[in-house]
Amino acid sequence: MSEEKTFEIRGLFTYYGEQQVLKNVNCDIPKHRVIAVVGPSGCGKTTFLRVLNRMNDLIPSYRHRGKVTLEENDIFEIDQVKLRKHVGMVFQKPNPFPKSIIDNVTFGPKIHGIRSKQRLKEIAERSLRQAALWDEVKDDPKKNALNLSGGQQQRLCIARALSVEPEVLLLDEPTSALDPKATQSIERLIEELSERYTIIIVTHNLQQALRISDYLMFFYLGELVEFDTTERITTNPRDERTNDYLRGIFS
Amino acid sequence: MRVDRFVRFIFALLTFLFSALIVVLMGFLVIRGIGKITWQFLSSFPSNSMEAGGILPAVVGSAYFMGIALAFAVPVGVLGAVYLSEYSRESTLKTIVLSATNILSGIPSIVFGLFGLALFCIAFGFGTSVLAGGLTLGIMALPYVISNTYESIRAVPPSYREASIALGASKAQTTFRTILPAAFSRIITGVVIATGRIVGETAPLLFTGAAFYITRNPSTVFQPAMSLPTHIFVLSAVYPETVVSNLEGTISVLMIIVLVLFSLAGIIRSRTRRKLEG
Repeated sequence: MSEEKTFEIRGLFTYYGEQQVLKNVNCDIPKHRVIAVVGPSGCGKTTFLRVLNRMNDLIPSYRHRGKVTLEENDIFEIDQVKLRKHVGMVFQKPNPFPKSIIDNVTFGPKIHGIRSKQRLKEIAERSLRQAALWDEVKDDPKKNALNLSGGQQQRLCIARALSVEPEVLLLDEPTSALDPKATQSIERLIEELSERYTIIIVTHNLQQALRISDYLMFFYLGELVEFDTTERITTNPRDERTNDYLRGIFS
Repeated sequence: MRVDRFVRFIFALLTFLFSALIVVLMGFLVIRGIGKITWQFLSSFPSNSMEAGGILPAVVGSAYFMGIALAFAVPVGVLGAVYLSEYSRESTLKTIVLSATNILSGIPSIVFGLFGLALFCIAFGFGTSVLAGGLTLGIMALPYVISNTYESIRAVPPSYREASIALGASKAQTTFRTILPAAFSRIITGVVIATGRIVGETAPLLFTGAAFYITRNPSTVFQPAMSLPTHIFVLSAVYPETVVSNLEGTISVLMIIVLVLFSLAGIIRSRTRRKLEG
């Protein structure tokens, strides 16, 4: 892998209380690519994702060991708030704020100090366009976000994450609560966004991972078993466990 | 199955009796005095040694007492609850504070009255005044505001908190811009109910802020004031039957205020529920 890097992860171990989750994870995440994180339930893939924007730190019993850098800055040393501005996240279940569409996409910029109405309006429009939601909501941007459909809500959450201009987007099973049509529109969106953003997506759906990802990361029992281009892994998995997973032996 | 039907019958009967009791009680109290309520009654001072005239100073006084009570209980209660739910660690102290809050709401109101007398009137030197009475009522409302706000904050879905933090919001920004707005209408509902509970409190005001009979509204918070519940107490305890129509009128006014407050709380609650469920 000789691509430009975003995250570099060295010797990462994580624990919830006494329970060890991730075991010695080492990898470099390439820039402006779609990286799918797959593996059976409980393998640590969501924990891995939440290391990257330090969301795990909210859990009192959580501890980690090892080094993670983003563009050569140690993420455990820089301010959490600053880190999360650079590393956006979209959750499994769409979770828009119970406010208007426009308030959802201006919340982030506002808390980061942007006051100008004009500027906020521009950011809102840009983010909604990027999330392919603009055309559907431009007539009534004051509408309560909770009145949108599930797929629209999830695209709004993506727009909200984009509104603070992150470099990396973490997606935690973003389509698991959506119907096939909404899933398809999110997948198309991910493809478009990967031109400008590094996208790391956890998914339970192997087919989805194969459809959208450039790289595949396979976790098993807390171990990063294999990480390479999706093409190489699917045609020629090096580890037997990866092979078993791809053939659907455990899922 | 006959047992089931029997149990069902018993429950239905009890529910009916209970509801009937409330309706009869409310109806009786409100209807007896409602004819007495005129603009004249609400807007004039008592006259002829309180045997005639209106209840203006009691209405105004109650409004003052409520104003001071809420000005104290709402900020202290809401911020206290924010501290307990967002900032304090899980500890024995927190458990003690939370259970103390619950115990506090079970303390008889006369005890609050004496406490207010000792602390505000004597120790702080406020004397019998609107300020001392209002603060005493505020202390009574406080446990309710704290526990209700605490529950309201707890009821905000954790996903809102996560979304806010993932956008790079600090803890304070998350608390004040995401959590509190999402809990806002529940918190307000609690404040309205707390108001409904203390607006009829008599004992806490008797020693701390209530005037027996005044002919001018207080001009500062260091003067005593009349209030609706203490006026009812005075008219019924001290006077002969000559004031019965004024007494009934006052009771009606107080009952209507309480009913309006509780209905308002119910309306806010159901509207929020509808909004949150889309």
